[in-house]
Amino acid sequence: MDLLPDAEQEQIADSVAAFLRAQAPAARLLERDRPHASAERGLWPRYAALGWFGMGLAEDLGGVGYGPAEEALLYREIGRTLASPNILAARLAAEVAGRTGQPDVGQSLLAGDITAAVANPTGRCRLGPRCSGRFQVLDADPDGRVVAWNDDGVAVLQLNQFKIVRSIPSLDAGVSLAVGELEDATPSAWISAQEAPLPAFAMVMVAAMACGVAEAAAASALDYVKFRQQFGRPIGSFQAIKHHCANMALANEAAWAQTVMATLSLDDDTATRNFETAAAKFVSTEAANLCAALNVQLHGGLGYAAECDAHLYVKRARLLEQLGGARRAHRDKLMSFPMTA
Amino acid sequence: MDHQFTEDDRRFRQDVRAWLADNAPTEPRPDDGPAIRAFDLAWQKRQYAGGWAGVSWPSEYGGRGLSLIRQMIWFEECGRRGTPPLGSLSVALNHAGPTLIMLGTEAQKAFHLPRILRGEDVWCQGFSEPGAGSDLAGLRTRGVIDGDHLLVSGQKIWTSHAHLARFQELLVRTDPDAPRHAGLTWIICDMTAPGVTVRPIRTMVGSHHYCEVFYDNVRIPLTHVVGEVNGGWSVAMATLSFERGPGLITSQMALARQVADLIALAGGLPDPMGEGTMLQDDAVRGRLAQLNAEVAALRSMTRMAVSRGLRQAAPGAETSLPALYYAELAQRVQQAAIEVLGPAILEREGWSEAWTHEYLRAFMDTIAGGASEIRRNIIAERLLGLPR
Repeated sequence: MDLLPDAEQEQIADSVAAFLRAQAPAARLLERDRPHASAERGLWPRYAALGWFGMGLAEDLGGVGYGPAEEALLYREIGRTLASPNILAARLAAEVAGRTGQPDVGQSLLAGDITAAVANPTGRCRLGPRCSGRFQVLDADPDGRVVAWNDDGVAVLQLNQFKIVRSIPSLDAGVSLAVGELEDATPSAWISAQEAPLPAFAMVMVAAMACGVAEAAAASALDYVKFRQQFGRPIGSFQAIKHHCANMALANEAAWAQTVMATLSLDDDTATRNFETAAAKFVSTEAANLCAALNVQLHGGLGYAAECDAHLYVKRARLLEQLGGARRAHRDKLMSFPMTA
Repeated sequence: MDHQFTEDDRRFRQDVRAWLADNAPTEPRPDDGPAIRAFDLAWQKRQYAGGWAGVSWPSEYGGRGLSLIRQMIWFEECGRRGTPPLGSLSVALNHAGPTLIMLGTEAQKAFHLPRILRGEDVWCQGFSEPGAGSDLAGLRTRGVIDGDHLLVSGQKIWTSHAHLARFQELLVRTDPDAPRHAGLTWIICDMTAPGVTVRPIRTMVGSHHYCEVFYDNVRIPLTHVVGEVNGGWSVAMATLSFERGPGLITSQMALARQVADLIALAGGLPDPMGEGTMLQDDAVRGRLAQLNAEVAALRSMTRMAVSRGLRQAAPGAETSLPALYYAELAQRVQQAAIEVLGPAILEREGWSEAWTHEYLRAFMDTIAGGASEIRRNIIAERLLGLPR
């Protein structure tokens, strides 16, 4: 029992963080009035070269052979600089393709030759050998794959299988949004949750991204209140400000600790896995929303301005909250804490 | 990163579970008066006889000397079994004992440590005063050296279990001219000594938990000083640092069980406003799901703290995090219970009394052992580096 990363895991997290800080800092999104999927796609070959898409995949699937623990550290850093959630889509698609007898597709996804996009259901949907429902596709790429998941499993599709794909202005300008519907479409690959607990995996990696968002927003707020002077002293010396900062630290400790437990529980029995991952999604998105909002508040007038990056975290936090379903979608999994049984 | 326990640790957990199944008290813990002391000491004696006393104490002082992970397992299993809280023994086992082990004289250790482990003495903590609560260093109870004794006069307050205690860890001002933190002394006070008057204070729960303690020229031998005369502040800080160990786990597990009980209760209670049960109400269901996510997160925070403890010599300011989270979550659980119970919360008898009692009791959680506001200051200043 040791929830802290070992030396090798720390090294992985550090190298991911260093790359993203240099190549894709959150502030890059400030230059955009509207989302530019192509700008994010420019980073795709770099991610592939670093082995991110296949980090947790077994070597026989063309992966690096690490596990969910290393991936949780990766997605936490991805969240921190608001890098694309589609990295997760590519990773899921590569595993689904590899496991369903399409090793070439899997290889192309891992190599970054094909992109993948998240298709998030906007309501009830049916996923399986036939797929139906309405979805929001992030940074849709006509040549790439589209990945949809719910509690039943993960489906890989093509954009042209969606009826009437319509671009819609996106709350989170870091991703473009297209809405499309599936009517009894046959996915190019499908894996049920019984075959592989990929929906739970996806949920916990979204939670890890939310932890990254929360920690980055809290760090930004903390830097600012140490720097900003009013009444002749840093505003971080005032108790009202301190307590906001303590609340952020508290929420983030809960979020990351639970996300680690959920990550490690992916190998446990179904009830435990479902409970722990739903709890992680819950507390991590709470933390992300709290820290993002407090970061705006603590930046004052500046925090409300488009030129300040504070609003980016607010919007990404809300995007991650919706991915795979928000709190109401998963609360039935939370009705029994296996530890008390 | 690994959440599994070793084969040896799993076997240890089975041993603990089996022993608790045979030995944990099944009768309810009394709520008031000297019966509390009798109950708590009897349970401690039984643990001592079974070789389970002082799980966190080093074996050279008669403790079980368990590793941090096994302490955690012990407390988790106590929580799962629903064993009684440390209650009136928490100061002896979590504060006074560890403080003596670290800073006591050989004579102090030889006398007190076995008595604590064997379940012979209740201890209390004489720190807070009417004028010195969160601002502990402002305390004014005087200790004047008179030959080989200290002559103590003044008043302490909010002293948990003072009316049941035989000994007290007492912090007094021995040098009024020194800077605030420099003139204090930590001394062991015998509560039966002449000049000590204890007046229990009724709490909002209705029972007696804490007391006022008055000292009128109480003579305490200087051999009872722990650490140096005028060196009491650092001793007191050491004492308080022991408070945040894995001992909190038992209360955390009790909280997790309360949420489970509440969910079961809501599943059986008809919704007075609708057709189904309270658990089918959208708002209630969402609230209970949230509480379960939070008790799980609290469990994870504690395991994270233990993971840090495996690598650090001394606990850092991070230990304030699970303590604060627990205190506020406990109150959220009680507030949810009120929503589920409805008007039954007003009736202090029968099945609902335990919930009413817990609702009232939990007000203490964000005050005792450091108010939440002070804990937040500690997190902000010591963990986040914000200016004082």
